[in-house]
Amino acid sequence: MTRGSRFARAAPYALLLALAAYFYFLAGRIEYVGPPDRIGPDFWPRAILGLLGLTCAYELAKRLLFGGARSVDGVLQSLMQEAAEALEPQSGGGGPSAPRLAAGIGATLGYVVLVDVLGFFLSTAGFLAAFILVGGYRRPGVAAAIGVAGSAAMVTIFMKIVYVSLPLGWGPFQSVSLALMSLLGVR
Amino acid sequence: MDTLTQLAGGFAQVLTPLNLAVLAIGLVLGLLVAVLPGLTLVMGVVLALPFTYAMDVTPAIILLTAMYVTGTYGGALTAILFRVPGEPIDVPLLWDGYAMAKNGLPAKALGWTLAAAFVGGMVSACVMVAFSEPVARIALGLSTPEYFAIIFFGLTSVVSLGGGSLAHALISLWLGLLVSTVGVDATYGAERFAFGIPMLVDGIEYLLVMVGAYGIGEVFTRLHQGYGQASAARVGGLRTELPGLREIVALRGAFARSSLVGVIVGVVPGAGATIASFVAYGAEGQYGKRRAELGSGIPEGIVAPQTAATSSVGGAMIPLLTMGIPGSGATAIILGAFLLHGVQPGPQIFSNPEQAQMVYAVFASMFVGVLGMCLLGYFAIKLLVRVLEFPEAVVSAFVVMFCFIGAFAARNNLSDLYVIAAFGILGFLFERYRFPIAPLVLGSILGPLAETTFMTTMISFGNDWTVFFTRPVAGTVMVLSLAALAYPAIRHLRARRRIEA
Repeated sequence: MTRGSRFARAAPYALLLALAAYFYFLAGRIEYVGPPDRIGPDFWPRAILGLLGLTCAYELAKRLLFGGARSVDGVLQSLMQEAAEALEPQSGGGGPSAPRLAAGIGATLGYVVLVDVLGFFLSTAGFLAAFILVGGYRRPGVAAAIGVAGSAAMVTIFMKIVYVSLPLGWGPFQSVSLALMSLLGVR
Repeated sequence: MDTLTQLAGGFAQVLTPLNLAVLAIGLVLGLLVAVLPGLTLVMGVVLALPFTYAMDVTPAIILLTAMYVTGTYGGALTAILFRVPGEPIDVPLLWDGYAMAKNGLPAKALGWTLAAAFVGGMVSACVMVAFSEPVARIALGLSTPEYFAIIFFGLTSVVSLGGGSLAHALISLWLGLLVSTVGVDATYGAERFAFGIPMLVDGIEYLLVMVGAYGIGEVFTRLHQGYGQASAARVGGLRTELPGLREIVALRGAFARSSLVGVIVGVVPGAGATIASFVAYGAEGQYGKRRAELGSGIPEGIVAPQTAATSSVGGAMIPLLTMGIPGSGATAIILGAFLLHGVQPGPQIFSNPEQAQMVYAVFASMFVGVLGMCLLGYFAIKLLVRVLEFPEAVVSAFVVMFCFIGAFAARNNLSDLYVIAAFGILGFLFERYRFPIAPLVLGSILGPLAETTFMTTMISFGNDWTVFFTRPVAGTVMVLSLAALAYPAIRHLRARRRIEA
């Protein structure tokens, strides 16, 4: 293993170690009122951060010094490794794809940002159609229909039966949500 | 006698039209989730959670428990018929279940699976009825050091038994515990790691961590890998051939062994149905009469993992109901449903007549549910297997939506969607870099309880931490916890020595 790849493998643990140290410092600045002979609210997070730091330091040293080839696995991990040959190889899908993942995460984050503005119905219909297409479904018309029908079904179920107050959106989008609700008999 | 009377009352509750309908829905959904591509048992229970908000607590828990039980069985169908295990629980079924199907006996293999799920489910229900109240009585006598020790055992066992390396599991656990410290602390009311952001001052709900990491994280992982399409084209003459009573009696040893393994493993936090299934198969390989033939398609190889997987449900429900400690993803969601309905599971649950009645209704629903699951498995198998052809891209889009609605509806707070999306991305990164998710989730769930019991002990015993080791019960559990943590390392060393020899 090259020196560069060892550093690359160790980098996430170094980052976590630095974050643990930063939060350990922050924990020391937690303000509270309590008797001086008692442990304070900083003790528990500091203990956790100390243990996190120790674990990261161990992994960091292991990866820098030995390349991290050997590790002690959890029981389930060992069992799954032993059983690996029995598993059916993954079929179809064309293998891992970073752009597909990025598009999926983008659609999800877009939904989170826009649901308040567009309202539940419009944003959900758009998200469902987009995510189905990102997932590799080849028929855009069907995806759009599933999006609209699925969104309307969810509005009906959650607003009419489960009584969840879903976001209506702003301005003209709110009018669309209200019109749909009256169409579906949701009050 | 009192227990049986209470159970009879539970049956009366379950057999009301509403509860019966909810139970039937839970069974169908549980089976669909187990068969549907890309969905797992825990995800299924997560997705059902928002539907329980408008229900009373009894039907809500009945629905989720029914899904939990059926989730341990449904994936067996695709594992045996198509060599596609729905999730790790079903992997041991590939060895003898799929082999038996390949030997020209798929109907018989499905029949043995059904019989095993039935026995496991009934054992599970009986264990819950017989042991929950006595365990709750014992738990009433425990003090905070013992409680902390039990929680510590739960956390260490989830680390040692889980997937990924031990160091990664520990990092995952520390992060989960750290997440649970965000917000206002319970002892002093001090604000921690909130940075003045109102959303963080309220703390991070464990349901958000769980739904994000398990639900959305898994969707992202599958999206990254690319969705495959399993074919259910061979379902033409599909049927289930139940084994005869004599055949079942001949395998009584395998049934008894695996039921016991399932219940015991189910009680251990972090172990659950998957470990139970593997351990029971391993036990059959060591102690079974026909151990030499294991792997060639014999019934014992189907009975052992399936019975253990289903009977582990009873074991897992006992610590949840009697101590409020969930040991698995599914029981953690059920705990969430309890809390959302204002019920705190724990030793006092049987002291409150109303809550005790609800618990017995859940027990009774297990008996009825197992029966219903077997009827569905027997009569609806063709339809169930057809579900396998449903496009995963469509399923995944709806999974994300249900995760969002579940997260949003719990507190009616749009900010929670950001938290859940963040944990979804973290869940993907965990899967990608082989960090187990279970310790993160269990850490975030048990963190507040662990901290409260630790702080109370320290305050009560004048900062003397040796109290965790000097009190008999706490000391025993703490030693067990340390042994659990050391176990993977010992296993690793033994394996290395074997290789070197």
